[in-house]
Amino acid sequence: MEQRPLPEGLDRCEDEQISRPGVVQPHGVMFALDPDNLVVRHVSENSEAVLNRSPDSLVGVKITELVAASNRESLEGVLKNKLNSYSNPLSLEIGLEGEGRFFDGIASRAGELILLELDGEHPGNFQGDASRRSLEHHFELTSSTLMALAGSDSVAAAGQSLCENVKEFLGFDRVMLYVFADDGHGEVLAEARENALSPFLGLHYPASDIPENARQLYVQNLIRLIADVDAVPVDLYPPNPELDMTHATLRAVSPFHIRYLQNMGVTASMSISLVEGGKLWGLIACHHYSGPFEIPATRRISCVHLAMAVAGRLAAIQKQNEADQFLQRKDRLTRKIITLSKMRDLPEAFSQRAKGILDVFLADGLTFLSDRKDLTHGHALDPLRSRQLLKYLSPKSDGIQMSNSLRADFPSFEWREDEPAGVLVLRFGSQATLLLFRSERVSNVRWAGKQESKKDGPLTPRASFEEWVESVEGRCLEWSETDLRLASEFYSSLATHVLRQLARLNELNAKLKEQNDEIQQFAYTVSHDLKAPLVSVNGWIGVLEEDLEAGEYGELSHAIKRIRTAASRMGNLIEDLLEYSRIGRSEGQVEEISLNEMLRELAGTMETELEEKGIELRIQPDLPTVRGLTNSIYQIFLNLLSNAVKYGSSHSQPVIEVSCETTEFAVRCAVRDNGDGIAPEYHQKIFELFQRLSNDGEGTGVGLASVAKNVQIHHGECGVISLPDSGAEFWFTLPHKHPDNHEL
Amino acid sequence: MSCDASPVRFLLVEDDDDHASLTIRAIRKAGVVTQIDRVIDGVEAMHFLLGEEPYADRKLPNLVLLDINMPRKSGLEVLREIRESPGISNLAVVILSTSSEERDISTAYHLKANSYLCKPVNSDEFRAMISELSQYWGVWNEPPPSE
Repeated sequence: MEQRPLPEGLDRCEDEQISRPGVVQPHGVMFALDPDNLVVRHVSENSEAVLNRSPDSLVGVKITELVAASNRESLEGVLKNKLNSYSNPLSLEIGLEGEGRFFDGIASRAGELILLELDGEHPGNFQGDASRRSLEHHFELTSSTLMALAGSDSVAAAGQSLCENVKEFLGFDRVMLYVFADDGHGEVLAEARENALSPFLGLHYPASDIPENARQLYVQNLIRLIADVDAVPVDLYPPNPELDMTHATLRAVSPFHIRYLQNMGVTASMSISLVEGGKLWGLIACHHYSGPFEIPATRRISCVHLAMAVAGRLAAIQKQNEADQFLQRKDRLTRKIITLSKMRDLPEAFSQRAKGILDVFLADGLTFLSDRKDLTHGHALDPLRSRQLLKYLSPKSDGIQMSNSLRADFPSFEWREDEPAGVLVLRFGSQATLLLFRSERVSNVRWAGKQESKKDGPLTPRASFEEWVESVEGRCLEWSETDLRLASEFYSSLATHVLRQLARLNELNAKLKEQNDEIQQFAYTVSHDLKAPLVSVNGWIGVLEEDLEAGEYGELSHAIKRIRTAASRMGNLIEDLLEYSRIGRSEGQVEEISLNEMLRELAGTMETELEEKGIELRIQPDLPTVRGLTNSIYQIFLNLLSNAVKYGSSHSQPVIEVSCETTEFAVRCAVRDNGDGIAPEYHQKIFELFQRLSNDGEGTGVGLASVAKNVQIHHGECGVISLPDSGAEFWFTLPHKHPDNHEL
Repeated sequence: MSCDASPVRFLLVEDDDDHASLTIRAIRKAGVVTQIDRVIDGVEAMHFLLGEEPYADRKLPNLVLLDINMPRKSGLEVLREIRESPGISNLAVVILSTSSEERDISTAYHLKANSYLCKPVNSDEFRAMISELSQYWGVWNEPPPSE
């Protein structure tokens, strides 16, 4: 079998100008016509063999002269008006009427010229039935196929119906549905074949099998055929290497492709494009192994129409499947997120939900790194190694990064054999990082034929066509777009959660610090203020000892009295401090409190003392009701009244007034006395623990500090309004609304 | 030892009556100090040292014994004021306090106290300390010349 030599100097078959081969397939005749006068400019050199007319006798002749008179008008009509090659196959009678032969004629545009191609010689004149014939064909093919497709929910199933119907319609030995992946490589997703043939179903073909220039051509011309792989193409007369045969049927195909088919044992072929969104989505590829094979024009065109009809549907099914899969995984993910967000401790949460998370992401292991705690689960890099790996990643501190082949992407990392092959990294600033790992997936990709390295010289078609199992080493199952979309959702939800957790942690820390400071202060003041009376007690005992030894009894009873006083001071102090430390600790219920009742009760307990000192106590009659902790508020009033009695009753006619007023935001209560008053520089100090203004021995210095603390628990404020010699008004507020605080 | 037997005067600034009594008693027992004046808080202390009413006749002490935790004005504030007041800025001031807190000690020295003493809880130690203090500041120490 004669083989056309491969064009020299062609490094890649991608560079070939396949739309301008300059030669045509010999099973038909091609005429290139002048568009204005329909005169033949070029004709293929096989005109002699096919039509018994030599090429030079045809050049310069008007094409209508060649056909029978009854066809002339329709021919001219088509050539002038209907150059869309998918709707105009004519049945032409070439030669004289009644004596001629009958061919199918297809007209198309070729740059500035018009093409008329004749093939499919058939007996008799079916012209009258031509349109009916094609409609029958068309209906026969499309209705059954479309019905089958409507019921299919997977590309494989739909493709199967399609291939079976097309095979039956056309008669090829094998019809395949060939679909392109994102990277250009193709997969046979469905197939109908003669039983004797070995299956091609599931085979993958490298992208280079259908180079870019071919794909572009396939989008413009939806069909191409090779009637006889072994036939030698013929030149045009006169030659025209520039003739654009993009839309021609008889275009001779690339010698690379012929080689390729011959290597496969294919004797005739046809393929129809499935175009979606202006791009080549897939092909209906037909192969014949039992010799040359010609398909009549009308049948070919039915297939093209079918392809146009189903391309959209197939692509839609594919998208739907992807969307369904995405929704399913997203659903599982959402449930995971809800569970996670209810748990406060993220590392703990991940630990418990690890399996579910791995499931959603089709991952084999995960590692979670955070400031506080690290965690690892499944087949993953341990935290130490993970941290080391992170240093190799580009310094983005936020967002998602990934690798499908860690060893290839980070060769200097010193990988260990049992470590994962791929990773998906979710970084939350410097606070936390989640790494999802995938193990090495030795994927058996069924490559059709050995992929040859381009380094070995010009790209040549594969010589052998055995099935080749390609082990893909060091790679994991690729992180798909679905995976990344899910990761993105997960990341957003987690980011919020992480931030919230951090904010909460910071809040807790601040609170802790505040409480710690308070404790420190408390401890300091306590130890100091308890020490002083102890010094006194010991001191006076020392005096007692000395005097007794010296036989001096004059000071004895004074000393003993002082000891008692000091000891009792210690006792009071300790009690007050205990009371103070209990503020806010005991669990009381927030209640409705009638201040009228409370004050009445208090006044009752102080009756004797008030009488003794001649103090008049005036209580506002219509005190409001407040919400708060009963005991706490009681303490406030008790302390304030107590203070007023002790320190604010120096007037000759001492009066203590208790009043309350309700404002928009709070209830404000006041205890006013008409005593000596307090200088402004001490107004702040007196509320501090142990800050006394005088040492009259009555108070322990805890009272007002208690008031302040009790008021604080109710989220209120307190203070004093006073000037020397004008009495003092101690006030505090109890807000109506408690800010969000779980302590109250 | 000062060659002329001039009178030795201490000013005790102490709000706690018991502590004041015990300290004064111990100082007297030491037999060194001629005159012990006592004021009950920092405000009175400044009035005294600045010779204001009702202390116009006061004699400046050789030593000020100063407590820290007092109402109205703390001992450290008094110390600062003493050091900032001309005429009395070089007075010997010894802090005598129950506090052993580092920040109080640090502040005291920062404000140029001459010495810091922490009142012992044990009465024997207390008396011994006051006795030695009186000896040291009343007998051995040369007071600053009057400004």
